[in-house]
Amino acid sequence: MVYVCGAKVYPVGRHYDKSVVDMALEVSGPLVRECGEPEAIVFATYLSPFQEDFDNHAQLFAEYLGTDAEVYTVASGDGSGGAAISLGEKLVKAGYKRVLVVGSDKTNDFHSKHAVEQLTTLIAPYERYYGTTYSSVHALAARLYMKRFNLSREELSQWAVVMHSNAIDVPHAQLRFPVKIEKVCSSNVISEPLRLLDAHPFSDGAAAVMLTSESSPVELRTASASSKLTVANRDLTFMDSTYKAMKKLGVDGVDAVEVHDAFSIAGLIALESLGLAERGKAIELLNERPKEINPSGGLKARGHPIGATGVYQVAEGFSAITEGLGRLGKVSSFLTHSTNLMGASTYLTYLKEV
Amino acid sequence: MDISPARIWREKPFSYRLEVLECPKCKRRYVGNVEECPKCGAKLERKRLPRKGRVIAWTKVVQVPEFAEDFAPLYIGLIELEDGSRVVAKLVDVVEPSDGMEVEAVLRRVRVDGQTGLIEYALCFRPIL
Repeated sequence: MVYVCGAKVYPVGRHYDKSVVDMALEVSGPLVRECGEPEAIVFATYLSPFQEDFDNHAQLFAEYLGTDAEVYTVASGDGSGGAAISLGEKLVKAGYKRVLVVGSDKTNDFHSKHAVEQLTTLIAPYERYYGTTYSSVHALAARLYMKRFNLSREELSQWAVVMHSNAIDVPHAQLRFPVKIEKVCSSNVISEPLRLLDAHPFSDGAAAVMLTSESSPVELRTASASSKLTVANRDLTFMDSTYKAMKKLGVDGVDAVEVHDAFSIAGLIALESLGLAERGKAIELLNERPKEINPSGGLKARGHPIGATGVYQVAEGFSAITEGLGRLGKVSSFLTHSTNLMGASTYLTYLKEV
Repeated sequence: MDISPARIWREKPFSYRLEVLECPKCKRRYVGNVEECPKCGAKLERKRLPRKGRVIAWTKVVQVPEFAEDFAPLYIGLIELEDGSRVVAKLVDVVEPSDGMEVEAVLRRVRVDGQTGLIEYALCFRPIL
């Protein structure tokens, strides 16, 4: 059995005064003092090598943490955080008593057009040299989904409205203000049909989770799978890897879920790929159970510090089970969904009250 | 962004000629320069995809990466070629694309290296004249 004995998050936002290692230390120091020294560290980050012109974060982090634990960097695009949790679980299963999983990343050290360009490194070379962006991949998915399932622009905007209201009561969330449908529908176009308020904000942040083999209040289990990275060769209206990972996980119902909604459309597709809603019907689920879907506000409103996001989700699940999270309150089971480029691969984590 | 001459050179078969690698045994396709099918081990064959197709979905990209600022806004299309295979590519010479629009491949400049002035070309798609 693998348990979570503690978790810490850094407020998501713009942190010009903090480096990726600084933020990782701010959350990990207190966590290690609370739970004990880890035997291994799994460090997740993706954009920081581009942002900081430095690519040995985990090693410097371990030095400053003052530990001789073995240390690994894990990257799986914007799903790096979920991948790190998944590997951390396996290290505990392999016999380690405590494994520290930390995700820390940045997108704000440069003007946002640099982050837009850096995020194109997620896309396969033969598809990205034209200027294909992270947002345009989601935009193509939105076009296909909206046409196939007759989803209106107003319905799609509902995603942002719910995410923003969920984030209001979450202290570490980046966008803690309400938005109205009209505002989403009239915000600037990023990549048609997606608009600014369909998109994740640019975020800096760090989150840490301590996994352990010793009995603790929250039990953790992961399941992952991969599918196609190339955009041309997949069904963009469904996340195949998510569907496969969910089958492996074998969980029927959950009290709440955090899905990887880098853009509104990805949130809807994720809910359907997880089997929580029928295809084309995720919008109904969102309207029926708004508090249980991305109670943190999701990537949309809590924010999306790319490689760290998956670790935030698990830390939020831990909070939801131990003390309550935002307007969701306290629950006894929680599912997190982290993906690399809109479902090229999926890392699921299931948390349960012991 | 620095453009690597080596990368442009090795990507030429696809970016200039739409050549993919196809496994004669299991029919899997790859874009790149590997010798054997990673799945079944058969020797891969080069195959040229048709240069005509139709637009399945498209987007007008306003928030573009820095290297593409001179081309903004960009039109990116998901295109189904005549043999049913699909590619993602830039749409050029269009004012307003439409679903089902018939397009053909045309070689265009896609990126210029700010430091060395190296120019990268690739096949884009334009409406059939």
